[in-house]
Amino acid sequence: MEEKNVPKKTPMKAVGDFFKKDLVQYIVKRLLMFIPTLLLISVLVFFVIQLPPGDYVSAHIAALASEGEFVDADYAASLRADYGLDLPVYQQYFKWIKDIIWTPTDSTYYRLYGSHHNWKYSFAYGRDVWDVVNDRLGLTILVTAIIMIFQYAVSLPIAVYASTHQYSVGDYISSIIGFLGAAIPNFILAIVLMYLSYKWTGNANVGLFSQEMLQNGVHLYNFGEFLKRMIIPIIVIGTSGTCGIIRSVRAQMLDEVARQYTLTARAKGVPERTIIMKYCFRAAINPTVSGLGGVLSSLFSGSTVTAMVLNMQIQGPVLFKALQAQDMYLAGAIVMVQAVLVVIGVLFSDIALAFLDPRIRYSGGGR
Amino acid sequence: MWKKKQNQKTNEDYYLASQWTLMGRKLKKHKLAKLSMLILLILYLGALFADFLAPYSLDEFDALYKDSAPSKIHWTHEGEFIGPFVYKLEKTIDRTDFSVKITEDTSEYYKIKFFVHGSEYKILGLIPCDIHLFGVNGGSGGGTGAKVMLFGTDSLGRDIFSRILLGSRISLTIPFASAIISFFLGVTIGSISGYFGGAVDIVIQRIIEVIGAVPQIPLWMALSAAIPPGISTVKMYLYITIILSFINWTGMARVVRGKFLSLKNEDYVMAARLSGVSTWKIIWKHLVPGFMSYLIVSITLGIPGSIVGETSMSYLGLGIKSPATSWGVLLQEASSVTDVASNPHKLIPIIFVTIAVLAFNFLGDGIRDAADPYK
Amino acid sequence: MKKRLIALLLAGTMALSMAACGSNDNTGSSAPSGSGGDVQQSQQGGSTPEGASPEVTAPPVEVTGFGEAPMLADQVSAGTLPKVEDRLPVEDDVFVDQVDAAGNALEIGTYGGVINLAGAGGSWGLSRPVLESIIRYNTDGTYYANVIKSFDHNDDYTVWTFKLREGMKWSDGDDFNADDITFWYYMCHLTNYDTKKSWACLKETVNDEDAWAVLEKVDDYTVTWTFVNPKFPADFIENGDFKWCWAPSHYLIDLIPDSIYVENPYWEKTGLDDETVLKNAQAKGIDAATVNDLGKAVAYYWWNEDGIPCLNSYTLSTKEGNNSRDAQLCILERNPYFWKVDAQGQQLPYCDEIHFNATSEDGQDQLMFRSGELDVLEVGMQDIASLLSDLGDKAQLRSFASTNWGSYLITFNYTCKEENYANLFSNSDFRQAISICVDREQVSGLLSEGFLEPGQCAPAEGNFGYDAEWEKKWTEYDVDKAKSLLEGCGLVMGSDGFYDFADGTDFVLTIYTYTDSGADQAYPVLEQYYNKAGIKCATKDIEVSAFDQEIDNNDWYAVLGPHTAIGGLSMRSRVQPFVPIAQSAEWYGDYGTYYGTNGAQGVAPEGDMAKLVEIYEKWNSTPDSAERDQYNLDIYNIHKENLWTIAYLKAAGSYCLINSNVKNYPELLVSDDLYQYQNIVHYWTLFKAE
Repeated sequence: MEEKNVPKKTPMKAVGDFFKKDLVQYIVKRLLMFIPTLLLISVLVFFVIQLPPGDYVSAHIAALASEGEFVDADYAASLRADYGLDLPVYQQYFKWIKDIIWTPTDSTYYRLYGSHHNWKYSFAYGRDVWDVVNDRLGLTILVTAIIMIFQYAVSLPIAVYASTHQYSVGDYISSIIGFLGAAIPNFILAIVLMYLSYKWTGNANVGLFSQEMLQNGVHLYNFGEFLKRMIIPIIVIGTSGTCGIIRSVRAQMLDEVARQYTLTARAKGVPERTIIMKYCFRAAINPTVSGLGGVLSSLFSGSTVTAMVLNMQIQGPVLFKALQAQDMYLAGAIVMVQAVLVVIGVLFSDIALAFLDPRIRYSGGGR
Repeated sequence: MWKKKQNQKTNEDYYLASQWTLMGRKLKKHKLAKLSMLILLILYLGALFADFLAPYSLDEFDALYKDSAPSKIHWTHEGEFIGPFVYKLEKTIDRTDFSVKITEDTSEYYKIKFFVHGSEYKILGLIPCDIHLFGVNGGSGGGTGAKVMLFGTDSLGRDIFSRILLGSRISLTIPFASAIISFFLGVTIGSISGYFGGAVDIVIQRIIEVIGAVPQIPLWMALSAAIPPGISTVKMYLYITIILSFINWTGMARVVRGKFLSLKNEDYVMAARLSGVSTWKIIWKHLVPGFMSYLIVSITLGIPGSIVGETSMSYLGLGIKSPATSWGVLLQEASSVTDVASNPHKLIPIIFVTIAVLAFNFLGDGIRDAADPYK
Repeated sequence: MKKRLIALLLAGTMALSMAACGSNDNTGSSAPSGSGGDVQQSQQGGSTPEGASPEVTAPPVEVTGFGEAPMLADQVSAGTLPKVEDRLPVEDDVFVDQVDAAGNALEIGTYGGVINLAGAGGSWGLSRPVLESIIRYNTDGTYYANVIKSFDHNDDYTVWTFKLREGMKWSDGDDFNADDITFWYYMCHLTNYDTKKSWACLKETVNDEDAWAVLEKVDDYTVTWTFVNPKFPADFIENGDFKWCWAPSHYLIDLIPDSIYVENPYWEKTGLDDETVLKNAQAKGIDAATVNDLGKAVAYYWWNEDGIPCLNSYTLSTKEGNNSRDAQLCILERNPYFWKVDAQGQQLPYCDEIHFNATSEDGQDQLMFRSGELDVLEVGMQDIASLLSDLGDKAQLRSFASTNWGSYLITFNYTCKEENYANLFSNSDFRQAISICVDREQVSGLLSEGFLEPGQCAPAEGNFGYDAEWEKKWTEYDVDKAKSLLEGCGLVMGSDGFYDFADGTDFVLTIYTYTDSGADQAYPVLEQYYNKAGIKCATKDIEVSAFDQEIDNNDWYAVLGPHTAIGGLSMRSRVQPFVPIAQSAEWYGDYGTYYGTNGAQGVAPEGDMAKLVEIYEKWNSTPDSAERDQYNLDIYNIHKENLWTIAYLKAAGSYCLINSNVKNYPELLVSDDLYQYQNIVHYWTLFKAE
């Protein structure tokens, strides 16, 4: 009997097939699971924000008193009624989530703002929550992106170099630099650098924009000023993350470089560079890619302290102040936005993982 | 002939030695790791004997030495060589222009002596004692009140050197609690998720996402407010750290899961299964050691991460607060530009934080290299 | 954790006020307004106390011709702005600003430049520097008409007359006249559109019910307020809440919905429903979700919305990115219709803009001041010397005296739920023990470098009610006496070296502090002294909102660094800090709630607390300023007797460093709620010299 000529599947083709069939299935399944995950997150977030005793009104009343405005108990009660703070917590939650998911066309909110999603009011800012979030969203994403790119652009080459030149001077130096970044608490580094930059330049360099930029807007000619002021945040926030990346990638690379297949490949005469980059690196990158979601979320929260020290107008300090003041709708909105971004990040990292490592199968279990 | 026999013996030793002995030997060869172990040993011994090593206790306030720079140690007084001594400070304030003039009173000197009597403390909490390694007692002219502040003082006049030593007790021990709990939870849950896959994996991954999205700061605030005031801030910090480590295992779990997903179809796993090895044993004895290096890296980054994290929490006002002492509390004094500009000596605790963190990291590196089964 | 700078500034108290630099208090009897034909001097039509120093009232000045800023002159020639004579009120009614609040003559300034300030925090941040109110105070407590041209009352104080300035305009050029006052009163205030529930100054009790003043428009520039019962100056024109009585009717008219309308003789229903009103607001760039929010935003905190016309020297910029107090750079622009001129007839203000540069952490503003990016910097005592020595001639010191009653205050919960504690705290021997067991000299050195002298919770020198004996009461350092006093209170020394209650229960003094108050710095120091006296302590440092919640719930024992402390200029400024009549201050806790809710909640005050209320009612019902001051002193005496709040050091003043090229910034001022804190600097008279 003749054997049918079954075309052999090359590895690339296997991956290609995976992407066509399984990937689409996979994405759809993940998106479906998005929704209950997000709902669960929203419940947890809302309750956790409410957990500390006191509410926005009590702090606000005291703040007013310290500004010379004395209000009576009736005013406090009416304020609570206005903000819906006198309802039991679960009722407040349902109102909140219902309005976010769908505010009907037949409501004041829709007629005023033309949007079906009511994120409600920020007590402290006195504005629509989405307004407040939007104000800083662009800058937050820009800053986070720049720092993330810097982190990976710096740490990956250093890690590969360190692993291929183990115990060399370069290895030690890069280790020390990487560790120092993580060893020094961000706020101290930020304060010291800020002070040093003042000493050297004579300008306070507080914040990401100069007064001139704040008045006249950001254009091409003054974008350089922004980049100049980004140097310190990049150094401070970036270096604390590079340590982890360098170390884990280096460790993984060392493992991979010592494997059998590397030896085999070398014996076969494959160029060293290909071995390192195409095989070892891809395998070593596994945990790093897994951690992408974590890196994203830690960038959001980790940059808060630095942002406070350096007066950067990004989401972190706003969230912190909102939590302190129990400005719950604002805090809830920011956390939800960050949660969505993180979940998306995790989704991407899982897809990237599948692409990089064909050993992973998503359909079915290990048995 | 002897040499050959010796070689044989060494070779035999090598082949017969257990995994841990091998690791130990390799570790000894790693110079940085040895240095780090030594440094960590010194730091922990310092924490253990802090009461003795520190010239002053935690609550010795001093209005005269408030915010002062490290004491100048002199050797000759009026031309004569005496040995190490300090002068007492003199402070004059001017209420009209708010200036403070600090000078040294060179009329009498205070010798730095060893094994001096100082404030009382209890060895191991039981035996009262008042001997300190070094200190300053009376002056040459019978005066009192001079102090030797090696690293300067904080805003209430307390000796920073003493506080670093006494604070290291908290800063070097609490991180272990969260690291250990996170490690076990992370590896266990991550391995289950990765090994079984399917529905179990999906559910656990979603739980991880949910937990990761919850903001830690309001949790801290709520827990801080909920804990009754009688409990010391240190215990409070410990409780909160433990509670939160039940949330912090997610990073580890995700990585373990990633590794498991790729390793579970390896031949040796299949072989083990076919041999009838139980699932648990497969996970812990066969799979986990395969990426032990990454786990060790994680722990050794986790502990110093906690040390640094504690300082950030203190900056936000959520961590350990006065009157307790930890390195984070010390760094609160250096938390604004003006503090750093006018009192740079308050940055000295950073050096200790950095050294501890670097030591843990290099040690971890050494252990990782030593545990490498392929070299 | 927060910064010792602020700790020293607001050490334990919140009301910053200052000792009068000149004569201490005054009775402020109002003299009938004398409007003359010529241009008025700045202090006309107001109160002139007997025996006030003659420098306070400046001689009338003849102003011939007006000058204006070059940037405005350009607009005039371009045709976009009317001539300066048409922008100012008629010559007779223009306000001539000649002296600052401390009585010094003002320098004639030059136009141009920007004043750079640090961030404008809080709801009132943008308003304080530039708010123009009905009357204006000098640092010695005398006052005179400001926005209004004059005020007067009839013999039995039942009718008050306000005269306005003819030709005065809003910042958008519209006329300011009596209609704006009736609009505010009948459409914004009585309707509760501004959500502030009618101020006490316009309210009275008739037949046991609330009644309100009747406002009548006599002509375009005259209004009268008519009461059934006499309304004395202290309750009316001197009331701290009565800052304004006007609103831009032409701008706000389409933001008043029918749903809140109350029938009145001057304004009709607008015929607008809630949603249309909110849409109109949106069109004007005002973001509000409900009518309630809208009213609060436009009729009360109107300075936070750009585009709303006002009478201040500067208005909020309408430029996107600079038009909100949350912006990193918030700009206030010159009001071209401002109705004040200097002694040479030049229209004020001198500077073109005021910039608020937001900072996020301590020390950033200092860096910015050093590099010249800020012109005014608030500093704590410990930083003054180093900044001045580093900057030399480029910076100068300005001081604000305080009206706080001491610093580092501790107070107790006299209505504590646990009887043991309540009884102990109420025993004045206990408070004496707490006071004398602390070495104030040492504390002063530790917490303030010795700048603040030992003191007690009492008015500071130069302030109303100052008593040298009171300042020194219970300030000696005597641990043995403290211990015997404690034993006299019934406490028994336990085996652990600390006192316990007689019935055997543990006595732990739990001290609450709130984050950022600076009090947590002081706690370890004080704890040491308390421990030596046998008092076991515990502390809890929590966020302000949680802190206030605990206070409201009566769930506390002792507070170090109270949020709403006793202290202030006098009862003329605010009554609540001194008498238990509201729910605000810690030192009277639930006693105040009782009065504030008319007995519905809280605990009825007894003993001396009740006496305070008694005297307060007498104070309230007499018109005579001298009598009121006497009652005020009686109340002070009760405080002196009881010392419900203990302070360890004298009150700390507050200090500013200013850029040397900023002129007309008075050297010595008073910071108090009554003078509206920063407002007393008179920013519109500042100018920058090269």
